[in-house]
Amino acid sequence: MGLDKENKMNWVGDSPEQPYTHNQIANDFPGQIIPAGNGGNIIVGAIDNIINWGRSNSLWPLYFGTSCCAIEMMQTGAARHDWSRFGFEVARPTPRQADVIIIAGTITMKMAPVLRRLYDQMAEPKYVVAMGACAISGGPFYYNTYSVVKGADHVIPVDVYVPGCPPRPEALLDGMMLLQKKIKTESIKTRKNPIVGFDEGFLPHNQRENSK
Amino acid sequence: MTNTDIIKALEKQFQNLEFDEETTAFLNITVSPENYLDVMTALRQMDFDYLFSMTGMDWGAELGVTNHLENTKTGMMVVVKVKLSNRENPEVPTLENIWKTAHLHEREIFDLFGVNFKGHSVMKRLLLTEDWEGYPMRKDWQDETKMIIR
Repeated sequence: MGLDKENKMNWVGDSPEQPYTHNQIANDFPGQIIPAGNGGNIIVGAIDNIINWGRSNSLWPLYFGTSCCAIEMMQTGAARHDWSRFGFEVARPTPRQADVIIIAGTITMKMAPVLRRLYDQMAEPKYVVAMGACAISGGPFYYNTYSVVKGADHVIPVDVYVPGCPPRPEALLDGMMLLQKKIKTESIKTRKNPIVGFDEGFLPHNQRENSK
Repeated sequence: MTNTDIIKALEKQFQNLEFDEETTAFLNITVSPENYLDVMTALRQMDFDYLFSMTGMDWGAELGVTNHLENTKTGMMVVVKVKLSNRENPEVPTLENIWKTAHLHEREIFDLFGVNFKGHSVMKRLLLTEDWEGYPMRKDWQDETKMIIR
């Protein structure tokens, strides 16, 4: 994985002459070390909780409706289902202000570069919900279609998949609450950029191992 | 004006037309690419003022174009088909100068079937990207990455 290389620091244990032990400190560590047991971990944990609570309860979605799933997404935002109860109501027309992109509809070959650009323009942290069969796998357009991308996860990494054709508003709400749960498990110590290493893993469907 | 009147009027001017009014709801006229523009002009002069559908076709051996015409005064409709046996470079005259709506229809047919409309003002791709290879609505079009065939 490319992820490990990104996060690696110059540790003492890296060279074979000095094997790694748990109490050693990096050669180039700039600060002062305060030993554990003084409550430092508790503060970090509390900060995580506060940050995650804030993030998960004000998820601003980006308008990205490309077909009929967008109708269900609108209904989820409307009075009867009212996703503002959970903090999703501030739908943004610009990716610069959005936290989560709900892919509501078919992604065509012509739309894929646009989707990727929108995702790249969003500020970190960013999340992706693939709504409906088309965004998950191409759905009804999987076979014998020349123009449809077979799943939006060929283009950008997806956090939550909401199946259905289209999914009911309850299903989308459930998917969004699942995303909230996922955000609440994050920590500032372990968070990784999801786009690093994503492109290396991409293969067209006919070159994958499990393809027919 | 009835179907018989149209058949009589057209047979006076042109040879090698095929008529079929039994198997479908409308009068079907099959023309050769050489007669196509003249037949359409003649139909326009018979007050068929509305070209409401224009479809690219792939019949296997030959490509083609199917036009649906309506006379909006009497509500009468006819279908004109043209068959193009040259699959490598299918060519047919444009109808842009008779019915202006043909402009976009013909661009779409060029995009998806590769039928080249001679005399069309903007003969380039409409829906697909400029660098697309081939014509995807043809029966023999294949692309291993883009299309999974079942």
